Amino acid sequence: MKYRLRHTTSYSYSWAVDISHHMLHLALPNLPRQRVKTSTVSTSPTAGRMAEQCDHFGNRVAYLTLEESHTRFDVELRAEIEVDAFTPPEAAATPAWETLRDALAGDGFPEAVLESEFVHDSPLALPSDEAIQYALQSFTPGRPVLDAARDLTRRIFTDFRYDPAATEIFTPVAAVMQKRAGVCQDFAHLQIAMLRGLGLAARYVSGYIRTLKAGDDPETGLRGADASHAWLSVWCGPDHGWIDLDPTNNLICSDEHVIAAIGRDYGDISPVRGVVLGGGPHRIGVAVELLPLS
Amino acid sequence: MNSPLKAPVSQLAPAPGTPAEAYDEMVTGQGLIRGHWQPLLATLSELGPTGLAERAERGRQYLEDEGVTYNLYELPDGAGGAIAPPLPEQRPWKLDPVPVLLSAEEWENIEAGLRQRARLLDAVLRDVYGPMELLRDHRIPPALVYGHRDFLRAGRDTTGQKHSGHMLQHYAAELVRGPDGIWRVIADRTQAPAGAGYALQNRRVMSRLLGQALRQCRVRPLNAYFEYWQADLAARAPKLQSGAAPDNPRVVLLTPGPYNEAYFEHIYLARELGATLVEGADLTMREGHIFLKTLAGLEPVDVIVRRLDGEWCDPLELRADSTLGVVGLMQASRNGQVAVCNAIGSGLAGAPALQAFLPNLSQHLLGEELAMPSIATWWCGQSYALKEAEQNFEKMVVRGAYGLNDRPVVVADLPEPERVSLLAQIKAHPADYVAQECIVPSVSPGLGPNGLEPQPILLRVQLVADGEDYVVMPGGLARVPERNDPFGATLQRGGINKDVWVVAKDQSPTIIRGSSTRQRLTLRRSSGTLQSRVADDLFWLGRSVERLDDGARLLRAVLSRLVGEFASARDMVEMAVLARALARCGILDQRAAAAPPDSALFASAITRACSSGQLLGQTLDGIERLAAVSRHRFSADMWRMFNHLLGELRQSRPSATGDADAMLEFCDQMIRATAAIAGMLAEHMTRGSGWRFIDFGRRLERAVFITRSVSAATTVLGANSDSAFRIALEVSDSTLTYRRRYRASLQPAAVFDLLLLDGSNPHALTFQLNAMAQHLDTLPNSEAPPRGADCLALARPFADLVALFDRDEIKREEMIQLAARLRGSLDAAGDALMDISDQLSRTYFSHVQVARAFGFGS
Repeated sequence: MKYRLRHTTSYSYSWAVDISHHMLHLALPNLPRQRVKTSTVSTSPTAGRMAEQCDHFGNRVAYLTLEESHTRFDVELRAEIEVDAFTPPEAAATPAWETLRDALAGDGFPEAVLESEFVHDSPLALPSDEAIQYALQSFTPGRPVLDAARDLTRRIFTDFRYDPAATEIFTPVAAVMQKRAGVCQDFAHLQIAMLRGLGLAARYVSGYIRTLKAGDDPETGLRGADASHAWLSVWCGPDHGWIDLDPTNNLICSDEHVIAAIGRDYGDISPVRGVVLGGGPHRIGVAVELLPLS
Repeated sequence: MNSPLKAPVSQLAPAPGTPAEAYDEMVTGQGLIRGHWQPLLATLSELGPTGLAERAERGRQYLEDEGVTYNLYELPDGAGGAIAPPLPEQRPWKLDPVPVLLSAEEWENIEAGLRQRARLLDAVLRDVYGPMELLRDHRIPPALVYGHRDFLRAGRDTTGQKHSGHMLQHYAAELVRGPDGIWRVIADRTQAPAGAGYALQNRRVMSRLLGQALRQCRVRPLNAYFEYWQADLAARAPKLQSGAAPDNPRVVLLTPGPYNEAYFEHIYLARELGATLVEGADLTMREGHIFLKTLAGLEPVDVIVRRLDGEWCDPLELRADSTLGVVGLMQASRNGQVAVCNAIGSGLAGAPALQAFLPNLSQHLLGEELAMPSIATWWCGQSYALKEAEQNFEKMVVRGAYGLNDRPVVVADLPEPERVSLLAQIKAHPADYVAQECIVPSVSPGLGPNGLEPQPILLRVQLVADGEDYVVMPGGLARVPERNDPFGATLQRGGINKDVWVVAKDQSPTIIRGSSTRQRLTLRRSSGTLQSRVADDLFWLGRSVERLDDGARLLRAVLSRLVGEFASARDMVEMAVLARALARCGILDQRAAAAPPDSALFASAITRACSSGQLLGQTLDGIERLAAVSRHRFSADMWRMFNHLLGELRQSRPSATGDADAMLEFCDQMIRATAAIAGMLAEHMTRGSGWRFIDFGRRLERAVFITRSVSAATTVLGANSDSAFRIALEVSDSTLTYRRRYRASLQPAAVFDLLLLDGSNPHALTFQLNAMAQHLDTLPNSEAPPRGADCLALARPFADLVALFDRDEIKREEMIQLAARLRGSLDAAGDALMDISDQLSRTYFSHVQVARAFGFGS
């Protein structure tokens, strides 16, 4: 599937910002199932200095500083991408989840060194006992990892209400458990925390999901399309690798998702991070459009 | 892993082990005094118990005078923020008068072992923050990196390159000597190890207490260590574009500020290393470079001595809630535009669990046996180690695998139920724990309540990079651990400290290499680099000291009328005028000021004016805080004086009981203290920008005070003119001058001339305005508002107004009208002065504002 993407973020400040520094995780990566045809990031005001680097997780990061006084900051990503469909493996054919748990612990020295990074707690996805108990209902003894993880995704979709008003940004996992409501970011953090609580490896993925076409039923369409989206990957062993699950839409990701960046949680790969001097209270506007190209 | 390690270890049996099995530093197994101790012992026996106790007391006094303290550290949430919380409690530094002696031979072993260890830990850091081969080759458990809070991913070079040059520039090892006589490492401090400054301070005190013994024992001096350190810092400055080393590179010491437990040491170290003491807000990143914000503009920074824990260093890439860091520091450091020592992320190498893998790593990375062993360590993330720990559980000390200031738990000291729950906790999260052998530390003589007694000791040894290798501070710090803290977890927990004397190998003088490599300095008349934030603090210090003085004078004037047996009608009128002045200065609230002076409400408000909720109470607190944060601007003598005066004020601050006489005495004391501070500032501070900001603050505050107190006095002009004059002269300390000039006759023109126009009277308005104008004309940015001329202009209307009073006979009604005109002008001048203060802030302190992060946390 081919897409055209447009993602704009606007910051409006109450009064002038003297200087601001930003870190952007916007540039799209080329991946085995994802090819980036064109990708440009532009800002207004234009940055005097923009540097790009690769971060620890292999994402592309851009740093920029705005040294002229401004009351508004716009950043826009425009891209064309092609994504291949994904046929998930037979869930029953994936290893039992305990096998993976033990392999990732590896008595201190696991074979899967790089994957083992995603077993450890991270600041925005701390597991609670309640969350682990919830997950264990899906992770019954000996159950194949993808089967269990897919079941957990389904239960989160069913048991938790999608409600942009229910949570502030950055709600801790324990609070989401209690409210039984949240947005894509919360559900991704929630399932990540649960999987890690069981000793499995889970990553946070930020990106985009296909925008509704005219005439699509908003009730049955894809959620999270009007803003940047987030989901998770679970490691299913060396044969199957990382498989992406979207608890907000109850599916295994295929060619309706475009990946922007991968990290432990939102904190590692926030699309637009910044520190400003001055400015006072500010408003943020985000618009995303991911339209299929016929 | 929270509960058992963080729980207070309350009911502890005596420290494990008995002196009988402990190694004795001074006495051999045969009961003989070791050779290198003999000269000291001769001195000690000469002194006798009373002589030694007297030296100890003198030492305590020196340390108190120097203000050597450490803070009881509790980081406020968010580690800072707009409103500064009260300063933490400062504890005096305790120094035992008896040092620990180490022979040249055994020191050589320690030195060699620790230099190797520093090289090893540095090699580990350079791998982990680069290619990560040690993880891929299964030489370090990945959990110890990926699970460690101090593994700062933003610091990793993802191109697969190793960091060029040391990541670990400065390192300290905590050592213990077991009954077998072998020194072992308990802890590796790789973040921003404290102790070097305290060690030097200890030595300076000891050289005064036991100078002769110090010479007789041929003890190696410590100073050279700091020269090496300074030289290494200079050598790390990024090269100029031409490829040449910068002339006179700027080195700054980045401190978290006065809330940090070791702030004293930061001030001390900055001086020893010739570095500017800065907080994160003093630095800014522009065009990829780091600059210091000074009054004269931005000045480039080459090297940062980092005393701030890594995760707080850059709110853009690390903890977004940090207000202590510098936005963009990671970028500048990554691109080699500034050298940060230690490199951000170095705390990782201090993980106790890593100790279990060092012997193997030493073989692999250095091709050498590990020369200095660690105490036996089992990382429970491996099943064999967990089993070992469980089988010998009661012999173990349990700690967090990553360190991070968890208090170690001595299993033998735990009651059975706690022991069981600790073990269960470990089994649930084995990778989070290490078990270590419980070792009986060696003993060394120390001054106890009943004379000399053997006390257990730990050694903290400091190292700093020197080219490819490291140099070791010869000697340093020994500590007597608290009974319930076998590993002496951190300096902040206190306890007693001892100087460590290392005997020189032969008679040859110590060669100091450091200074010869330094370049000749360009002469400078002014340091020219006052940080804007420091200028802000000094300005407010000046204002606060003056405000205290003015307030105390007003209060004293009231109290002297209040404590008499009977207040006359005149006293009542004058007290009402004074109350008005107090209210206008914000010292009394309106309700109390309006109350009759003989009412209980009035008396109680007056006597409680210095309690903590009141303006003067806050001013007193403010002076303590501002003096502490500006401490690095004062010489040791000045600081001693400050410390002494403020300490006295703190002690005699009256409780809120309402004793007028005690309050009167306290007012006198405040006036004496502010006079002493003023004299000290006038006499001992270089006439640089720092002094100008303090003095400008004082002058401005006093000018405001004059406008307010004279304005209050004019309210009874006409009705009780004499009272008005008396009060105006009294609170401005001008009564004597007036009497000398005019005898007892009180006349309006003479009084107002003296208080408003007389440029020779240091309590006159014009005097303040002239001084302010001079300061403004001399400061950098003198063309920006406020300008000197603005100050001078404020005095102008008063010449004409005072002339109107210069007549033989003024009728009562006319007097009241004139008084109202004068009052109007005074109030307008007071407002204009506040505008000048605001303009000053905008021109000089504006970039002190706090940056805010978004897109994370929030």
